[in-house]
Amino acid sequence: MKGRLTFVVFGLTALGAAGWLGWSLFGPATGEGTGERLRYVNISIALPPEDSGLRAHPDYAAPENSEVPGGGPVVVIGGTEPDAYLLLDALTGEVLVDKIGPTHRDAADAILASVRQEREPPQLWPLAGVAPTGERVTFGRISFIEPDPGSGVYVALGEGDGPQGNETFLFIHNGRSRMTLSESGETNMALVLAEDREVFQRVASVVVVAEGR
Amino acid sequence: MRRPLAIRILSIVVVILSLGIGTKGTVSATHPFDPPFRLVGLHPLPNGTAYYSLCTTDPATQWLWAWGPESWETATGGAMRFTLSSVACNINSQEQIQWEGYFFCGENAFACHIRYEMSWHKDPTYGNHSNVYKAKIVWDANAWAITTNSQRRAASAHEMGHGMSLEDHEADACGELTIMGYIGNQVCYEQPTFWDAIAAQGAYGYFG
Repeated sequence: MKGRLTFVVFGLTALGAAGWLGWSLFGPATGEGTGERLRYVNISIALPPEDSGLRAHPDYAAPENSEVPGGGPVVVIGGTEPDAYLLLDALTGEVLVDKIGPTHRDAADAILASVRQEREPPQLWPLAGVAPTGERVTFGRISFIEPDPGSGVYVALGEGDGPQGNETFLFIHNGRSRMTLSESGETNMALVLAEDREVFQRVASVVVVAEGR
Repeated sequence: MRRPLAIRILSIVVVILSLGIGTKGTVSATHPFDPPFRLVGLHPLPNGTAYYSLCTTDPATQWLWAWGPESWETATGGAMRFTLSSVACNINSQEQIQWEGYFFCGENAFACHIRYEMSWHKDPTYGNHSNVYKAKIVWDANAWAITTNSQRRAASAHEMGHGMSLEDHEADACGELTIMGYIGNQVCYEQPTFWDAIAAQGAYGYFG
């Protein structure tokens, strides 16, 4: 009886270990801390906790922005007050602006301590692996899968207006390359670098445009 | 804090008028996104104020670009307020207005509105919506150069209308009583109409 019990315990342990090993080696490409880090161009940071009062997002400073001479890709960390924020150079990680006051100082310092240079692309979709099958984001007739912020690829929602009509579109970008994909199915990849084309095409390939208007 | 019953009933009547009768074309057919996109600063509480910034040093262009948010503040009777950031081209403002560059609008667009930092909420109190933390109004400089100031003001108010969670309206007839129609050669309105203001406030939950 005791021998049989020992056999069962060992068997279950071995099965668990094999399962863990298999998941680690061949499971979904989740990379480090999926949904926990924000990556943009050459740097990544830990995403601020929801209760910190701070949010972080990638942006591209216009040339007219006096705080980013010549403009360029940045990571913005701030709250809803427009004059209290941190700006990080997304190429070097350098702090360009630090206007965070005492209220959010500790949370901002924790984010600053988490800044690191990214030399290798993380194993996250759409850089690698297969598209997640979770909830799709719907915008008008367009639905898409939002990339993990750790991948450094982002999708923004646009409405274009001109004399020939109005059209909703997706603006897909990573700080170097950017493209648009409209509800008419038209894609503009003229500003996508050769090394980014495959990744951008992965994002575009899972976009669904519903019929009708 | 609940509003008095009479005001709530009046609000509901106005919303029904603006959205229901609107389909006949006699009153505005302006319509919000469903679920709505809400600029976080414009929520009814605590103070309904959003910050915007202008990425140009040309005073004439600044005035025309500022027309967008300021015309909405006027149309809503100050209920939804906009404040120009003290930092020029402030990248942390909720609506940044700029020329095409890194951000662009796609083919044939005179201008566009891009929401690029937001989160989705399933909210039983204020309804399902998306909080928009950062958005941009982006202008095509070539198209800008060949348009009149009247068209620019109309387009400015139209683009900000997207920030107010209003969809494009597929008509260019002036009888539709909305700023959200086509941006074409014919300028019907240079500022949001009464019905646009009502629809925007409804989308943001101002009427409960």
